[in-house]
Amino acid sequence: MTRARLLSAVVATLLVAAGLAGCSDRPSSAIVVTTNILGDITREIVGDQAAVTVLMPPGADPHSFGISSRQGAEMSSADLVISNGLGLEEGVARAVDSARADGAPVVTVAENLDPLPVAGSDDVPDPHFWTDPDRVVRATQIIADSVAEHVDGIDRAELDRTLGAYRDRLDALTTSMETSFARIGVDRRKLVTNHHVFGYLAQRFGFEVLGAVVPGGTTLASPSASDLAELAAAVRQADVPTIFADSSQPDRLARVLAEQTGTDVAVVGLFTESLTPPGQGAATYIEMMRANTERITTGLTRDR
Amino acid sequence: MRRALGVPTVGTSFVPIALALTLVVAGCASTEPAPDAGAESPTPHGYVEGAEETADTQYRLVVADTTDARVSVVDLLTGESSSVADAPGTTDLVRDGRYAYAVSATTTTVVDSGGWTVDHADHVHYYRAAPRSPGTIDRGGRLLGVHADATHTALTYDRSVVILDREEQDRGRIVVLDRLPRTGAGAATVPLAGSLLTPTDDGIEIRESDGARAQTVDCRSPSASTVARRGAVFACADAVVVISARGRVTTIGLPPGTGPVERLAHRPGANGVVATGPGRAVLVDLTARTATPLPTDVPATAATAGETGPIVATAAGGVEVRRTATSPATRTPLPGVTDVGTVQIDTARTYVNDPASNRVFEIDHRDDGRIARVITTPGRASLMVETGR
Repeated sequence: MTRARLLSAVVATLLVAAGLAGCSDRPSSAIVVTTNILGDITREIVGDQAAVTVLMPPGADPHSFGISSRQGAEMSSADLVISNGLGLEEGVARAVDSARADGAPVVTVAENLDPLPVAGSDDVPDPHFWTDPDRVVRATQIIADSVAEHVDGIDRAELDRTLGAYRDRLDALTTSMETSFARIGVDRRKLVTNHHVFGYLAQRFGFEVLGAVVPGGTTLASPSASDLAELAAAVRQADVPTIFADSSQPDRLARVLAEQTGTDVAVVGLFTESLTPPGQGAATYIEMMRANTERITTGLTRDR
Repeated sequence: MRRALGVPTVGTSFVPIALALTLVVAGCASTEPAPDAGAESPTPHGYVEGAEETADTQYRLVVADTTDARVSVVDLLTGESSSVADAPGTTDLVRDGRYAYAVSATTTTVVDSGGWTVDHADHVHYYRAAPRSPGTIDRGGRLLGVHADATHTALTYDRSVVILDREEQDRGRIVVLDRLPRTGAGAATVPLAGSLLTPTDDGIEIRESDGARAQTVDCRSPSASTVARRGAVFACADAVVVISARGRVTTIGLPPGTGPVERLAHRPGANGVVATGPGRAVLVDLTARTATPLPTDVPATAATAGETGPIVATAAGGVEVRRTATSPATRTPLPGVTDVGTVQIDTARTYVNDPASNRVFEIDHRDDGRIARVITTPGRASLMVETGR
């Protein structure tokens, strides 16, 4: 039903993209980036040397956002397409393939960063590399090299200058994360969460991720012990004062956990896969990482 | 939880190729790109105008009071309720996931419950918006069922099928695209992935959206229909037939003595249904392709949460909960209720209305039928459906 419509949208996008690529009256976009996190990073590196178009709107889901036929055409005629890869941007995967088939250079960043496997798997690579700022530093080099190679009119010296300036800020971010997380006792470095993107952060900064199903919706109105059993067990096992959960009613969840299981935990959400519009806490990659660091450290050093 | 598992999206499509080719020609022929060409293209589906994406399924109850015409919506997450329409003479209430349809002898009132789910197979999106009534349809009588896909809503009445433009409906406008004459038994027409699956006395006709008949699936005297995760489900004289979005047909035989199935009831999205006929109620597991009779008197209503259960059935003055078709039943009396209304079931909870009062009972079917909440509705809970999924 909806799937068929989605497919038809993709088919339409692809065919239009293929058709328009041969039309010479279209302006060429220098760089087209799929996700807004990579878009922010690319803009910092490129500065005002080239136009950067970001396809994924703020606040969208990278797994499912779609693009218009015009955006598909723009991608096919771009000097360079930058994508995350490893299956993250499913909604535009075919359009990216189509752009590649039309001759647009495509760099898939995550594939070149020694991906970790996703939790519970040996061989499925995890696309959410950006929760490790060291890998983002490596990503900046990949992006800068690709831009220098494929985009016309780039002054390499100027590019290296803007790249260096951004790297200094990323290094400062990493240092501030290390300093912040050092305040968390080693026995409390556990993320009980239903977010699925923090594997890289955990590996880089020495956290353990304990995945949990978080009861939501109507079960929170009048929960039974069985509704909360799994989460309560994870909380007890981890012995942490805060869990990090995507929940529409975090305060209610914390209250019923306390009532039903005697566990006193705060429920805090984190920014995961998308930047936000300005003023909503995660308008840039660095702002997103600083906000999450602050929430994790505050949550896990909280008194019970 | 929105979690992608990397499953490729595959579906069937009918019109899109021609549409796409048209766009290609149009795109290259014009020397100046239309300024808003992007606006005609598919809207990125992470965004819906006027709606808020949420972390949880937005389950709601739509309740009709047949004594004072009031139709109200209860938000099951907050417990808040609001009156959204006056529908005098309502005799039945039917749902299709997001909408409820209150039908009288002459009119159908459409109610947007404001809670719905967009399913992308490997992950889902949940949306919430304010409940409202986008309008009415000048057709009434007996409404056998309402089903929808992304483009069409089909309302099946005794003698006709009314087709609405689903995209316009989601924007708050009732646009009737077609009124088709109807023959055949009790099953309703099901739009599925751009096709129209229409029951006739001889079987299920699958028509493409351009009206051409693609094929007829064997199904003697189709008497009920619903939509499960695997596809459209039709009850036939001696079997249940499942037709997938890709046209694959599965037939599951019913045990002798079931009789013509009057109802197929289940949790939307589940791959199990309870088929109830005059002789018995049968749990049909659409994945394992088994049909297991429930060891009970024929209940007025029964529904299953999943392929194997739990199963909730109405009983005198209460409900019975079974973990599977063959497990012993746990009985939950509903205080002060003589005639139980309908059973509406979702993943975690079951809702049962008391048509004689303004109470709806929320049952935890995974916790021995515990009454989790008693919800007070604005008017009498004469008729009730659950929406959101």
